[in-house]
Amino acid sequence: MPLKVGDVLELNDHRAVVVGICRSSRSFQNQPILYTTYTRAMRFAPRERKMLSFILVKARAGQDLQTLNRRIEAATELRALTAREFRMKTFWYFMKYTGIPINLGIAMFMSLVVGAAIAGQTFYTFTLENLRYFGTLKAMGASNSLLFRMILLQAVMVGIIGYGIGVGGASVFGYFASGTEAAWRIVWQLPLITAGVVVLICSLSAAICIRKVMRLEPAVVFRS
Amino acid sequence: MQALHSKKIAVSCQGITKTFGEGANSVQALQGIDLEVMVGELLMLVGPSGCGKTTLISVIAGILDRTEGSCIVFDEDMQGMDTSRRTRFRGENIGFVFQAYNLLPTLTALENVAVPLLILGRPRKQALIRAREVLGQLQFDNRMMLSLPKDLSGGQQQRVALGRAVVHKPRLIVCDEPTSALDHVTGLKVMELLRGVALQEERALVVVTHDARIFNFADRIARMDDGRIKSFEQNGVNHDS
Ligand SMILES: Nc1ncnc2c1ncn2[C@@H]1O[C@H](COP(=O)(O)OP(=O)(O)OP(=O)(O)O)[C@@H](O)[C@H]1O
Ligand SMILES: [Mg+2]
Repeated sequence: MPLKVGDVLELNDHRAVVVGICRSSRSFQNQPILYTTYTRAMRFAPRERKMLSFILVKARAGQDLQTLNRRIEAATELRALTAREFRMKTFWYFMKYTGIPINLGIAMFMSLVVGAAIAGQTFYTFTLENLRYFGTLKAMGASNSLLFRMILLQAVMVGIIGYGIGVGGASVFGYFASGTEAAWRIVWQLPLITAGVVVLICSLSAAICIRKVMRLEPAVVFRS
Repeated sequence: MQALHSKKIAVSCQGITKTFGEGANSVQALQGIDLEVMVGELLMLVGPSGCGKTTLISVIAGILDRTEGSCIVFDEDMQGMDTSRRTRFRGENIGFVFQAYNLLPTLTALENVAVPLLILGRPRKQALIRAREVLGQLQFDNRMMLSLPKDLSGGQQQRVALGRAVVHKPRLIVCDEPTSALDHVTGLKVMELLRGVALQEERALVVVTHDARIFNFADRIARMDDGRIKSFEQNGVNHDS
């Protein structure tokens, strides 16, 4: 049973009331996080040598954050970070000290290789199956540049359709997944990178096909 | 005979040889072919399998290079042209009919017939109008024109292929076994249409065939064996409509 506002629970022999739920994405670690005031936190948790990990500071409107940070650091000898700096520090912590980027990276790379192989294979099969028709067109006077443009158009169409289905599908999935347990997020760089990869895969596949068709002897049309 | 000799020469071949491969594995498919085809003539090439018929029409149509000899088609030697001019020359002057039809499977009959015109850069609308006219002559109704090849019978598909071969009014049409995938009656019908639609004053036809039953559609028959032409036969029967 998930907690809801108003629930009363017991924390280390102390009574605690839920007054709000923080809406955030699920992290890679799975301890629950409780936000409370410092004095209450001191009561809930047994005393340790260092009780305090973070203090959230709200700057007064108009305050220059860097100046504030330097002032805090001078006064307390603790590290002060802006929200953005803290975010990046967390990000780099996961990048450097956990296996997550490596594992996800390998998975991504593998799907990329498999995807490229399938796309290339499909295009190649298409070429072989239609070699007779390419030969017919050549015999009937279609120039290499015309065939080149036909294949290119095909690759572009396939790329656009595939990209649309892929990114569109991911977005729709993300739309319905938001607010559920899945921490779904598409950063703006992602569609661009995907587009680049799709262009690359399509060009490679088309190049294989184009090479084959350019070298095709029109005399094949009379061979059965 | 008199009329034939006063006519122009469409194709003139002298001493054509063709060798496939090199050294011990080489095959001499053509061993010295001398041949003339007149404008307005339907010449049939007949002979046993492997005697070089397909090789010869491929050389004549400019889709295969000969090893030796000369081959002049409408005063031009395609082998002397660069690739793009040669492709263009083929597109303008030569029509093809294949045993297996080779219609583009995703295009309708009408669009298939329009393809040679589109290759030559004609506007799409104009090409389709002309294609419709040609298919009309081949007794296609509107529904058949808009069918895909797979929904047509073999004879209908070969008629589409005939339309595609003549739509751009080429001066030479080459056909490799145009009736051998068809039953006898359908084959005769296709040959009749071939003579009627394709064979006109300014045009020559070379038809490769095994099919003895269509021999009398020819004006002249060249019998080939082992890479050579053994004899010519003049055919008396006239099938002009
Ligand atoms: N591309 C090629 N490479 C090697 N040999 C070839 C090639 N094309 C044809 N040949 C050989 O040349 C000879 C003549 O072949 P061609 O296809 O012209 O015969 P054909 O008279 O058309 O026979 P068919 O009636 O069976 O169609 C054959 O021995 C054939 O094996
Ligand atoms: Mg043959």
